[in-house]
Amino acid sequence: MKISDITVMICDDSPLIRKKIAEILGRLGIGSIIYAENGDDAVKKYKESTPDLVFMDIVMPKKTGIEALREIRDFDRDAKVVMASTVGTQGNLIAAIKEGAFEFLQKPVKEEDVLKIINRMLKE
Amino acid sequence: MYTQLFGHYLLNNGIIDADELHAALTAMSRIKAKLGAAAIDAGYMTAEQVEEVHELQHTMDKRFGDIAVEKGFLTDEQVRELLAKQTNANLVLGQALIDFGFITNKQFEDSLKDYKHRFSLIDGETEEERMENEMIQILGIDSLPDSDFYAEYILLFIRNLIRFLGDDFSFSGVSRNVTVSMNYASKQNIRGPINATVVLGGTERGFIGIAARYAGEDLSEIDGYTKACVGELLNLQNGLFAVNASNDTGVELELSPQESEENLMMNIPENGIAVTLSFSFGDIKIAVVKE
Repeated sequence: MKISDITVMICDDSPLIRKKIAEILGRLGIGSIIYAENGDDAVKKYKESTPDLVFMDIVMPKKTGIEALREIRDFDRDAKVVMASTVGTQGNLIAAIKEGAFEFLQKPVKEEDVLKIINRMLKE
Repeated sequence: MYTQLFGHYLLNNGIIDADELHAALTAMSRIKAKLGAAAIDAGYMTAEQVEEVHELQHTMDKRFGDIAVEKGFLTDEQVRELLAKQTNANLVLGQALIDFGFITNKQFEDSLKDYKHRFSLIDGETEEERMENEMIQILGIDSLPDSDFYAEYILLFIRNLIRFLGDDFSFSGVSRNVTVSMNYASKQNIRGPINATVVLGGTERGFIGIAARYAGEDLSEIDGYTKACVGELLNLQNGLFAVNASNDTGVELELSPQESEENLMMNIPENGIAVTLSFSFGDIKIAVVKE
């Protein structure tokens, strides 16, 4: 798989964060981006289009990122969901690992971290 | 960093007014401190000696340092040392105020001497610790119940504001036991072993200014995107606070989603605090109430 073939979903309630992550993905040559504004939206859109990678916020209205991660993994055990949060506490990290997150990123998201994750995903 | 402290001192002591401080803070990025101001700051020259060299510069085509060395006011080594210190923030602020004609060299010398005397380093204290302790005093945090929480939270917020918005602000008010108003604001709750409500907001101009600088974009009106930018800065602050609490003390905190507020009237109890900061783009407020 090439970078340009990858579809990524960005789930964050903040349009600023969605925009910043999309800019990074665009610079890295990601082919397609799907946007979700909350956990409910993310689960629905994941089921519709099964993206290759998901960047998921934790603190969101309606459904938290951890709850959405659990539902996505129930639907697809191979789902690769990166939890991207400002709240990189031990508790959130443990919850994310327990629910099968692919990675945990501390916000603000940096380009080099996104690149490392994509390279890891391509190798796997 | 923390130019605001010397600026606040000058403001509080009636040496300059808020408009003059604003003008100087805004101009700082374009200004480099002159050798005379640096020599006063270092205690190598008096204001009178600096004036004397300035007057001589009108009659001879020589640099300030060369004349000062000839007159025996400075050594070559001191000139080299001062040249290296020309970007020191307090010096640059002082230079901006002198250039605008808001203060004289003599006022700069006297103010800096008194400021340094009042806020001198305690044995074993680093420069950063000294500045942070000074900020705690200025904001009256040391008299609050739970002063450790407030000191840690507010200092982190100020570091984040400097990092993400810039340092062209002054402290223009600290409020307790009153109702504060904000035209636009973002609110978030911290939950867990520490419970607190935190608000970041301000006037319309202040709110747009926060969003524009944080996003690094040219924003001119308040819409969903502007509100999201301010909310994200607040979320980042609280996220970092939660990470520090988790790493340093093992305390796990949770954050609520941010809420946007308009025409907010917030009651600040005796054990809470609201700090107003005047940026060159407008006034902003941080309000923190621990339950």
